[in-house]
Amino acid sequence: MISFSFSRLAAGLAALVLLTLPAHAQGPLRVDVTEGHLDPMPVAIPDFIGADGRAAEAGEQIARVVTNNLRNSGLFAPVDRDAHIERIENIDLRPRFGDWRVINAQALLIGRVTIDGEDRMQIAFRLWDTATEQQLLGLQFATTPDNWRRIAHKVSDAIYERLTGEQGYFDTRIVYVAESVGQDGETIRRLAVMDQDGANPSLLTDRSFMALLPNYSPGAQQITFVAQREDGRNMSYLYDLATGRRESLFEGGPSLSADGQSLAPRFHPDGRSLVVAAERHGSHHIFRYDLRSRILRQITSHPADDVSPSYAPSGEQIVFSSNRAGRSQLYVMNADGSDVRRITFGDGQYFAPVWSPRGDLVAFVRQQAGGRFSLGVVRPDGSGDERILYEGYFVDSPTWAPNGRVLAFTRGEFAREGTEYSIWSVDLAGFNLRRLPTQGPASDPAWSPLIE
Amino acid sequence: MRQALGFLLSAVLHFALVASAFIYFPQASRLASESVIIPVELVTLADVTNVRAARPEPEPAPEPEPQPQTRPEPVTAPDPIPLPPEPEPEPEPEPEPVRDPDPEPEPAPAPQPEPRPQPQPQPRQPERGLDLDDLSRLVDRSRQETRTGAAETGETRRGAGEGTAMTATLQDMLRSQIARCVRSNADAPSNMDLRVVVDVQLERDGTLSRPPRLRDESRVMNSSNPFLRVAGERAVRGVIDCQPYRLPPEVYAQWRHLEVNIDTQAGRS
Repeated sequence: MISFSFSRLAAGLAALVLLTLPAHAQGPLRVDVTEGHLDPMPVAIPDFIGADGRAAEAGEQIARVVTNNLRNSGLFAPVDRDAHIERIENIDLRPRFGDWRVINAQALLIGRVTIDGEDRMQIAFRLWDTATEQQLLGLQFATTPDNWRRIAHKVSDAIYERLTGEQGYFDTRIVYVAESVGQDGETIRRLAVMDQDGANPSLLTDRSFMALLPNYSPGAQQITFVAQREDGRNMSYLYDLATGRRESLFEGGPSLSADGQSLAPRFHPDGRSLVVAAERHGSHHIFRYDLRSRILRQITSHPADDVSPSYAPSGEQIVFSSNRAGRSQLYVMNADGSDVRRITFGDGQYFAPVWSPRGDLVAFVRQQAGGRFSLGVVRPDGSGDERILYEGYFVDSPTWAPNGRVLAFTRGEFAREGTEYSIWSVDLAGFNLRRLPTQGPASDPAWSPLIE
Repeated sequence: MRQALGFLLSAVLHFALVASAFIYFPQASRLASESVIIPVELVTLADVTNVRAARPEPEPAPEPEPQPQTRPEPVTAPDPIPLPPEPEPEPEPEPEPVRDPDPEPEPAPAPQPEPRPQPQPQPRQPERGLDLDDLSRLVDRSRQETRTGAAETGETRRGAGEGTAMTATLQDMLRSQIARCVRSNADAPSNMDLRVVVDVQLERDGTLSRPPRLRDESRVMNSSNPFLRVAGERAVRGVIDCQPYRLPPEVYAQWRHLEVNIDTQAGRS
């Protein structure tokens, strides 16, 4: 009797073991996905709600600016607002996610504008993931009503950063050279500045000289630029954006070349010094200029021309172009001038290198033997292939958006009256080529850091 | 005489032209009638895609009101991932003045997040090991296998029976479906490990039987690397968007539980 039940138990156990074995074997099916798509992410951005007419109007404008920013980035596809089903009336209630999923919105941005009795504007918003029904972000800004556009840019930056992992670049400005024609048909080039999306354009300099090649300081408070004066000399200037004060640099320093192209100073990432190419003893060398002590110190001394220096974001290295190998190519050296390495080896000429704010790439302009220009990027150690992002009739003066994902540059097109210049942007994948909305011909863009 | 000849020649040529039209036009009309078929095909395709997009959405607009109170959520993707409740008021790290003396956009804490209580206890799926139905299903399956002598017995604990024809096919089907739904991380800096693993449980009709779950969720979602966090979110979002999965129902047991490794940076060199 006992043995009988024992054997039954044993048999039962054995059966159980047999059954559980395949259960173990039947683990999850493993799938390795190594590719994804790069389509823009569909986001829905209904107008921000407002309690009264004024707040509602601001809410509508803010939603438009955010929509425009995100669409222009090329990474987002705002869903046509006519398709929206749910009408948001309170941002503190959970949206009806089904209504947003059905129009294929993966993210939903809803916001509210209130203006209180003391004329302070509050802008609160929530970003929802419609698939997981989770709130991704909830923030609130307070400001004065006339500052709504900047808040819209800050909201855009927050959304961009939350959804891509990358810092945004919408609350930035671009300084550039605006071209116009004077009374006698002469070309006038003046410095101008605008928001990254083309809003709020204004002129910084007058007609008394030609301005060229501006660059921003790391704090976005100052710019350097080159002025071509009446006497034909190119002088570098420092311009304070807050005060409008202009100051000439290196007066009485080394003799300066008549060729302005090599003379655009760029800031050290700490903002306390500049690096600049200037002519001494018949060829161009790279100098470091201390803004406090006003001392100019020579960094390179090769008999060839070394021009267009640009610091790495660490400040420890400098990329520049030089014709020391015959044609103009790109080189990287330590900030003190030691350890010069060539990083480009292709045909044609390379110039105008700019180190990415992210540090991982150097942008450049390359002129092929046939005369075509291209905008490209290469790793700072020269490894790997260079990537061409744009090719055309003329390309010059690349500048990075502060997140190192987008470049703006001067594009020239052949025209009967001479080359026509405009400013374009393109992303690192070579997609999303867009003309920046300047009034009239423009060139020499310099993208500001994120504005503090 | 010469005129008459010219007239004759002209007449012959005209006749030839008209005759050639008769030969040519029938063909043209045949082409046209064929092209009518094309739109029909397009319609069918569009139909399929529409159905797919709309399917996970069981109910239209009218049911919203009851939602806020009732806890049990609809079938779709109920409040799935226990993302770290980052409810809100995130003080924005941004102490900065807006360059003018005017009041700066300052990070005020945002209002309370969800009017809806977060569901504390996650509705548990029945545990697998103890599920008798599960066991008996396994038995059924193994019987079937022995009968058909399927190669599937090859799956050992190395997992997922790699190498068998069916699993390889399933993996390919899943890979291509998911690759179309997941946003690539190719735009993130290349020197980062952004691989994430998602546990997915599917119903027989190809929909998710529960929200997908990130393995190592706290490591991914609390990472100081925002790109990893975004990679995790993109993976989960993609896996949700992808349903219903189109897979052969005969072998449901094999794809009912998936371990999806997503590393979209690996695709580039």
